[in-house]
Amino acid sequence: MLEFDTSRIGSFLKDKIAKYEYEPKVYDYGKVESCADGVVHISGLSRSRYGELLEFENSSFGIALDLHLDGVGAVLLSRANEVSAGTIVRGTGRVADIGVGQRLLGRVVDSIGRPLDGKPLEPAEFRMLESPAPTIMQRSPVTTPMATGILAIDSMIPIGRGQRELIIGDRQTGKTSIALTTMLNQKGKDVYCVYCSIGQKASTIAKLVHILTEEGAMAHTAVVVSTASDSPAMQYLAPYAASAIAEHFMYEGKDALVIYDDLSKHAVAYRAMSLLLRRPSGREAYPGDVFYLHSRLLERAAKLNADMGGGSLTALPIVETMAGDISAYIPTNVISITDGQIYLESELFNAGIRPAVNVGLSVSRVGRAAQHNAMKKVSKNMRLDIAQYREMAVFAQFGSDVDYSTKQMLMRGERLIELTKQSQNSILSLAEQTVLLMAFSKGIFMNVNTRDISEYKEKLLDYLKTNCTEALSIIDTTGDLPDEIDSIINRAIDDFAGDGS
Amino acid sequence: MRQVILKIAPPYDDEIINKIRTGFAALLGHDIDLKIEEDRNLIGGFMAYADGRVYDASMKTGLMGMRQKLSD
Repeated sequence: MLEFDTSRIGSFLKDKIAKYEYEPKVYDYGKVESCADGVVHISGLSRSRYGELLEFENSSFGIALDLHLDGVGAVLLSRANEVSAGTIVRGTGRVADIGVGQRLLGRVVDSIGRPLDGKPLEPAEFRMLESPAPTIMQRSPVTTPMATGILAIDSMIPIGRGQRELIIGDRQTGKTSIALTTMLNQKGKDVYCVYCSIGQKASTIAKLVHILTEEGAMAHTAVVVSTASDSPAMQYLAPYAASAIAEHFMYEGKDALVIYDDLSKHAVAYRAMSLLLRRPSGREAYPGDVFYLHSRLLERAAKLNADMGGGSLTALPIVETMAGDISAYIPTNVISITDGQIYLESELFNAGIRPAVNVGLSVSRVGRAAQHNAMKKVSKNMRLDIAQYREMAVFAQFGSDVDYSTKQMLMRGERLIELTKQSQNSILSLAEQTVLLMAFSKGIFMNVNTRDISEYKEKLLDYLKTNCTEALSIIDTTGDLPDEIDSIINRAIDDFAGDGS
Repeated sequence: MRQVILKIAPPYDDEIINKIRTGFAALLGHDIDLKIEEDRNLIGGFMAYADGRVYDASMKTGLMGMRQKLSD
């Protein structure tokens, strides 16, 4: 049995206490002059630094954001009712940080790393909320794909590891769904995910965490939460906290994915904070540095070079538009910062096309280079096909007679759109996506009624999974489509079509 | 005349207060107006607020420092 010598512990502690020398401390202090909606004005503290953590008398904390000669403007990290005019404040001399590392996986934390899931959390490492983005020389080009498991995206708007791809659209168009499916698809792919909710309803977050847990995706995911009832300061800090958690994995040489849901609410929280701090307002009452707010956040996403460990941080920011207006202030800002966008449309969503991706307005500026060879081979003409179909479909709406080739193009387009429909949270592997597109280019869907496409698609996949198991696994593992595999699958597709299944 | 707010834990006597008064007058180089507030939360010792700085010689802060040291 393990003997426990309590006297040794006692003497060790006594020794430590005896050696402890207490010296009186001298530090700056200030007084709260006014306090409103989580923003406080403090007199004194003339030596405090930008972003410094301030400690209030009752052990609540704040962050100094506005420095004046005679005082400091700060935001509170706790509820506003804990601080009142006259409260004494002292500067801690350090900037805000958050616990990071493996222990965060499977956990739900707030913007300053306090656990919200009722279990204790003792992070082994800490990282500053705001840290500079990797430099130019530390980066390397994006070469590895970040598969979303969604056919429409992986084929036409591919995302690479280290890319920043914006998901933009009106409310209720499936923006979070795309992000969620992408996180679910990272299971077993060595990608650590961080989901950051900014100003969302607590019930929505609970639902999302429930799905992640049910699907076994929480094991590689950390969730940073700031709900709509949190102070603007907490909402403002949330994406920086999520970025710090994800960044830690990147600098360890691993691949990480961070989702900011959503940056329009983040900008609104920052606007509230800035107006209360009496900063001058600009367009749509946003402060002048609202662009910098998002650019410095998204610049932290990168693909590092081999000397830096080769890790990557992919960012999928989400922006909500009003009535499809992508030319509003925040959408245009974030579009210009990111390496492309996935544009979701209410009309498409309501017409039953889900994911409701508008292929014409969506673009990926770096992902194509990172796409798997197999997918590159089969998805070449997809965008063009869909674009032509949309153009022709407008004329066809008038009911006018169309010639044979146009009719064929319309039929092809209709079926392609039908093929890209995918139910919520369902994932298609690279091989499944590849064979579907191969089957499509062979024209086997042309004889199938549009309404029966999804059923036919399932049957085809089942058939190929049973008859070409090895070929499919080769595509999945190598990401390539060698000629011999191509011909095996082509034969199998012919057999399936010949059966008239 | 500079104002110094002195938060001090009981018990204390005039002798200690006088020592603190002369100490701060020498430190700040001015005559001081000492405003005394009793604060049991400090456990022992005192905290003085003068010229935008806190001079913290309280038992509470000392014990917190010790806790930090023991947990390191």
